[in-house]
Amino acid sequence: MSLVGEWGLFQYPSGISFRPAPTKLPFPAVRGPVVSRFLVFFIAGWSGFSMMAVELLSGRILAPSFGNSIQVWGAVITVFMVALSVGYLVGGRLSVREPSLAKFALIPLATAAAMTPAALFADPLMDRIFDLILDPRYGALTAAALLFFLPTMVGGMASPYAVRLLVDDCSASGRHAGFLFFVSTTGSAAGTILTSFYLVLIMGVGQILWSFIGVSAALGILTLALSLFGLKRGTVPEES
Amino acid sequence: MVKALRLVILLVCAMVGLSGTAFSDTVIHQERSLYRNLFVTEDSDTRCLRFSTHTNTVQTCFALEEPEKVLFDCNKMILGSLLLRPNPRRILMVGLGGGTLTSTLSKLLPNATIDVVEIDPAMVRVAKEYFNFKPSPRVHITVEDGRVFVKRALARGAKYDLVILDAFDDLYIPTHMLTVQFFWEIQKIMTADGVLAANTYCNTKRYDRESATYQAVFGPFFNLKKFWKNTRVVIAEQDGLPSEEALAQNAKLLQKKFARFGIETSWLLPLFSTEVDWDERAPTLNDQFLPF
Repeated sequence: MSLVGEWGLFQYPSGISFRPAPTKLPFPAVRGPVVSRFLVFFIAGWSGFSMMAVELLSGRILAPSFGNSIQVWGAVITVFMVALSVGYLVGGRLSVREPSLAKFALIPLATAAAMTPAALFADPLMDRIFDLILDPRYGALTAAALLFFLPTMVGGMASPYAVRLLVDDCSASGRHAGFLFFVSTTGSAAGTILTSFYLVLIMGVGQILWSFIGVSAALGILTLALSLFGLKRGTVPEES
Repeated sequence: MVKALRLVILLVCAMVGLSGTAFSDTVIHQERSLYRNLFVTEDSDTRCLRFSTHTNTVQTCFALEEPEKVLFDCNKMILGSLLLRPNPRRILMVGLGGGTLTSTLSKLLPNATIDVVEIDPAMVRVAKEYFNFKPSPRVHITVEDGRVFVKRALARGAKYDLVILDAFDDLYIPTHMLTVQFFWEIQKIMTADGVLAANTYCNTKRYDRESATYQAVFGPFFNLKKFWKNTRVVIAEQDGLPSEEALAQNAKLLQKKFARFGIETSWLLPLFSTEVDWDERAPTLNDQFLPF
């Protein structure tokens, strides 16, 4: 059995079956103060925003070494799509066991950490790859993968995890998921247009990346702090 | 109701207006490349390359009867770079266009080797088929992004006597080829007395910043402009600009050669201006910050 299979990445949650599903999930979602639900949406939206913004910026980051050809864009989009899909798998898997807002807060924190190398070492890394890989297509693919796979994957974990936090009633799961996808994809659209139309006109690529790292880290810390200290009363204790 | 009807009529008119052509030439070939639409058009005496049939802007043209004649001011101005260095042996051209400039250069300088880098394979095909562009052992074409080619050239230690940057049109701006970092790379693949000629525009919002960027890397440069045609060619030399006398002397030397291609040195010489007509405090363009 493959590692992925053993890990259960592709296993359906028990709710999806033809057996009559229990309407109440065994572990409750984040209820309580509105602010905690709002934070879940906000982090999902922000993930979408920053992922697409970084995808756009990566074109600018790669251009000096690998050009601005259609192949370079192909490489960038491929890496982001693969990273997101893996992120969905992992995020969904992680949401199974004792999901909590505190754990969810680690996703933006980890995204910030994973994005830091791209802000710090992009140039020397691309120079190295440029020397090693002669074909700019595979050079761009390798550079995009090394610089952006991890942060995008971690960012992709937010959506499925957020669904788990919001859903406590199977019959409403589609509605919750739909609204969450709406928020996160609207975030992506906003990130795309704001970055390409406005941000690049007023800020350098590095400055934009550092701002995103800052916002992600701040969001993570805020949510973590709130869930550990501020929202204690809001979270429902585990059913016995 | 009337309002709605008016709107519909307006929309229909706009659509008809947009779909109509802005010129009367016949389109003899058209294709959609990875990057743009390409149209080859012909009237009774010229054949032209266009990126759109909605504007009158042409990329390059040649006269069917006199194919050697250089028709465009910008091409004449680029060839003006030979007044700084009449006999370059190794030439790099970033951007092929229709290939007319490359053909002229290879005829003008039968001993020079010319490396051309062009991102769009369709452009190369069209240049070969419709604009008489012929690669040869002396004229070598590479389909690649210009910046990547320059970086590779740098890595293998290639040196060029003349570098021609001709990768822009009025709409498509490969921003990564307008930065100090790119110009530094260009500088490193130029010989100690190498010459740069960059084809660009005068009526753009980036005029100040672009000029400041050339100046920051190459120092003072000749700024050849035809304002009402929105044509501008920047010509710089690695070891400083030559005197007016030196230019005039080379002009004399080239006069006969140029005449064959319909270029008059008396037209070219007055264009060589070193006047600073941009805001020198404008920040340079760089890979980190490109506000467009």
